[in-house]
Amino acid sequence: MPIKIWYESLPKLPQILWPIVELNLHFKDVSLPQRIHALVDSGANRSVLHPLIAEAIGFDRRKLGKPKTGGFSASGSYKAWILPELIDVYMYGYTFSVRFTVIDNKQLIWPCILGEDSIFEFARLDFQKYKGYFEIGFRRDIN
Amino acid sequence: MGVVNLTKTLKGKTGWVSISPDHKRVIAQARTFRGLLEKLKKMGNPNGFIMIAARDFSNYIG
Repeated sequence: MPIKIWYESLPKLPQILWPIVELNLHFKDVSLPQRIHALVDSGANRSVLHPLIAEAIGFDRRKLGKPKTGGFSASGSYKAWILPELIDVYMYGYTFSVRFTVIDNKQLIWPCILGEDSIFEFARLDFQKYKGYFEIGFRRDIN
Repeated sequence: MGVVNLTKTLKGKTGWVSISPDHKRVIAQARTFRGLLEKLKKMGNPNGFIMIAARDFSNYIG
């Protein structure tokens, strides 16, 4: 059975509806005390983690070296690190591991963005914005 | 159930916030992520979720 998730509206322009999920992150023995908001973005080929979230679960940016230039988004180019290890993502009773990209921008407005290389690899997503919700059907062959 | 409207809950809020599971209440708020984690720890890490209350989400183009 797919999981039905309602879109969310946020301040300033509530008519814009955002496909957002809540998830837990786990890396080695560290996890965050609460779930975090994550935007589901089919236009993103990489999944992104906020630099302060990455730091909180154990990634020291100084040890990651200098961020690499080369990423492009609708907002322009950015510098980023690709994390050397996978992070476990827990959501709605399912788990998958993701190699996140951490963008060198503390002003990023999303704690996490799930792109084509994460949730879209592990689940079928059916966006029904005209109905106000989307559905996530996790793959049964791997879950 | 229907579209989740966070505009009222987040009204006047900026920075890192923790929201109750029913999306209706701000549990804690801080300017920094580390500050929010410290506040939540003092509260016994109640159930909820963390997000960023941006001044304007409409400028984001994914």
